[in-house]
Amino acid sequence: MEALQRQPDLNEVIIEAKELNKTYKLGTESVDILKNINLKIKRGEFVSIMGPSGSGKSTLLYLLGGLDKPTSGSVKISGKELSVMNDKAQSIMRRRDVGFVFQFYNLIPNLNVEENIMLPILLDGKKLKDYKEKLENILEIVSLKDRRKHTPRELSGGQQQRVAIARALINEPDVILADEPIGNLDSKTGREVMELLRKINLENGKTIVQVTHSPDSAKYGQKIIYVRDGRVVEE
Amino acid sequence: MLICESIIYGIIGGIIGIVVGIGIVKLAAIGLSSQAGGIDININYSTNQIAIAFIFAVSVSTFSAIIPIIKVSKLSVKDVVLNTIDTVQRKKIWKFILALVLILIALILPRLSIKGGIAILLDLIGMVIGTIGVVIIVPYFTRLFVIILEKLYALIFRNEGILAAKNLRNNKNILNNISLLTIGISALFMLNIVSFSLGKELVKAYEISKCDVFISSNGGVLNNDILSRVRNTDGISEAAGMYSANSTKIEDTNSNIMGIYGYNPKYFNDFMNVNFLQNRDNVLKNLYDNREIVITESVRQSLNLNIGDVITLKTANGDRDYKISGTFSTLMYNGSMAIVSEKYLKQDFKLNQYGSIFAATNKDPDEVADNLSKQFKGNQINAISWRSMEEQNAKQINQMLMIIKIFPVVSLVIGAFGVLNNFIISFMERKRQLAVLASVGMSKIQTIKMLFIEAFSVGIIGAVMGIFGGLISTYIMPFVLKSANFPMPVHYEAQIFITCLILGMIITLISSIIPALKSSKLNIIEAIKYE
Repeated sequence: MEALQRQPDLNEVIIEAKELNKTYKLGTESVDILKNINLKIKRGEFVSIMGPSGSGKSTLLYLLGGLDKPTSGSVKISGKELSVMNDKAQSIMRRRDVGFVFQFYNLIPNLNVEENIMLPILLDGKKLKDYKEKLENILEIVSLKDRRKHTPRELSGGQQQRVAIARALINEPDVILADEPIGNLDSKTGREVMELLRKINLENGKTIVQVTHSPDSAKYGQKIIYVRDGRVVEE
Repeated sequence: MLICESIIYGIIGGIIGIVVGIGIVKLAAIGLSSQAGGIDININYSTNQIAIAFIFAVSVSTFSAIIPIIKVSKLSVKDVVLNTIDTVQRKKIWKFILALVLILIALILPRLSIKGGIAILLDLIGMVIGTIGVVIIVPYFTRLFVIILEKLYALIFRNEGILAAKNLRNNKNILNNISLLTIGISALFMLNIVSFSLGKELVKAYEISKCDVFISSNGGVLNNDILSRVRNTDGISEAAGMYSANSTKIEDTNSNIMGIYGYNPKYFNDFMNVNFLQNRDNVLKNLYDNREIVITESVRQSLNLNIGDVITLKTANGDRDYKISGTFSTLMYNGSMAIVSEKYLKQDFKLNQYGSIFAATNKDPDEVADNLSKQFKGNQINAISWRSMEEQNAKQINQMLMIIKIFPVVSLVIGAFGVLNNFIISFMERKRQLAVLASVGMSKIQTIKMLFIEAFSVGIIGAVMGIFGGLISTYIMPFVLKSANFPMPVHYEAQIFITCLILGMIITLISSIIPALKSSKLNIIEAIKYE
C-alpha cells in the first residue's frame, strides 16, 4: 500500500469521547455499562483498551465506531459528531473513516477473499476495476495473493483475520477499530496478526484502537486504557 | 423426539388443512353456483376421504423429516455448539447427471407407445419425474443465472445489485425458495396451457360446420314439412336436413361412436367443413354408394384401426359392416364422430326424420334463429345461430376451466407461504451477515434494496425454472390425453408465460417485505453476536 502522502499531525485528536454513557435495559432493570467516559485518541496512536469481562470495553469500542448509540454524551471521529449523523452519513463514515476488525472475523461466507476485501468499495458505489491496483497492494500486505479466489471456509483463522484487516484497510480509513483481533487465534498466528497491525500503524500512520484481554497483544500499542465497571480507571 | 415432533406437526397440519380445504371447496361451490345461475351445488365428502387426507398429512410430515433428521444426527456436537455448521450448499456432479437423466426419462417415457391404462400412469409418472429433475437442477441453473444477473444488475441496480446477485450463490434458503416457486409455477403453467389449449380446440370444433343457424329437435319431429317451412322463412338462403345417429356401438369393442352423420353429395359440402386427413375427393368418391365409413383419427388410434379395415356397427337393422375409407380430425362429440352414406344411414338405422337442419342465412343469423324459434314454438323444435351456440359453449368451457385453474392458484398461494417462511428463516440466519455489512458501511436503504433485488431475482429464476418444468409437463400432456382417448394438441399463449414471470416476482417481492422491514430495525451489535 502506498504510504500516506501527508505526514500525520501527531497532536491531532482523531477520536474524542465526551461524557459518554451507555445504559442497557434488561427487563425492568437498567444496567449502566459505561459511566461518564472521557477519552481522546490522537492520530497515529495504537491504543489498547483492557479490562475485566463485563467492564464495558467492547461497548466503548462500538460507541467509538458508531455501531451503537450512546445513552448520552458524544463521540467525534475526525471532528465529525456521530450523534447528529443520519444512517446514511454514519454508513459513509463506516466505509471511509473507520475500519472494523472483529474477533470472529465476520467475513461474508459466499464471497471470496477479493470480494470480501472490496466490500467497502462496492458499498461506496465505486467501480471495482478502478481499485485493482489497490487490491493488489492490500493482498500483498496481508500475504493472501495466492488465496484471492478462496472463500472463507477454505481459509485458516489467521488468514480469515487478515482478510478482515484487508477489508478494514481498503478504503484507507483514518481509524481501525479491532475487537479482540486475536481472541480466536493460536499464539503464533496471533503474533503474526499483531505484527501486521503494528506495521499498518507505524508505516501507514493508521490510528488503531483494539480491545484485548491479552497483555501480550496490548504491548504492541503505545497506550493502554483500563476500563473497570464502566469507567476509565487508568491510561 | 424429532420424529414425534414431525408426527405432531402432521396431525396439526392435517386437521387445519382438512378444515381449510372443506372451506375452500365450499367457497368454490358458492362461486360456481352463482356462475351457473343459482343452481345448488352440493359438496359431498366422506369420512374415508377425510381419513385419507389426514393420514397423507401425517405421512408426508413424518417421511419428509427423515432425511433431515438423519443429517442432523450426523452433526458433531462441537460444530453445533460453536456454530460452525456449514450452511453453504455444495454442489455434487452426480446430482446434475441424475437430474438430466430424470428429465430425459420424462421425455422418453410417453414415446414408448404403450397402450391402455398403464400408459396414462407412466405418462403421469413421467411428469412427476420431470418436475423432480427440474427441481434438482435448480442450484446449477441458479449459478448460471447469477453470472448473467451480476452483469445485468451492474448496469441496472449498480453495486447493491452485484452484491445481491453474489448472495444468490450457494445460499440454501434462497435455493429452497427457488425450488418452491419452480414447483408452484410449473403446475400453474401446465394447467393454464392445458386449459387454454382445451378452450381453443373445443371452440375450433365448431369449425366443422359452415351453417349459420342450427335447428334441432327438442322432442318434435324434423321432417320435410319442417324443412320446407325453414326454407321459406325470411332470411334463410338455403337449408338442408342432416341425418344422424347417436351413440352407436362398435362390435367387438367397448367403444361407441357418439355421432354418425349421413353424407349426401348434394349439400354435405355446403354445410360441413370436415378436416379430412387424406385427399378429400378420394375419401368422398365412393362414400355415398358404398358402406364405407370415415372416422375420426382419435377413434382410429384408440381402436388401432387402419384405412381399409372393416368395422361392424350395431344398428337398428342388425350388425352392419363398414369399411374405413378415411379419417378426419375434430373435437366435436369429444372426437368420437363418423360419416357414412346418408342412404345406408337411413336404411340401417331406420331413420325417418332428420337429426338436425342446417341453414344458411342472408340476414343476421341471431335474428333469423329467433324468428324460427318463435315460428316453431309449439313444435318442440329449437333454433339457434351457430355463432351463439359457439359462444355459449365457450362460456361453459371457460366456467369448467375456471375450476381447473383454481387448483394451481391455491397451490401457488400455499407455496407463497412457504416462500415467505423461507425468507424469514433466511433473514434470521443472515442477521449476523447483514450486521457485518452494516459494520462495513452498508446503509439501511442499501440493505433493503439488496434484499428486494435478491427477492426479485429469486422470483425471476423460480419463474423461469417453473416455466421450464411446465414445458416438460405440457410436452407430456398430449400423450396423456391421447391415452385417455381425447387427443388434443397443445397451444401456447404469450400471456401465460408473462403471467408466470410476473407472479413469481410478485410472490417473492411481497414475501421479502417483512425481512426488509426487520432489517431496517436491526441492532448491529446484537446481530453480530447473534448465533
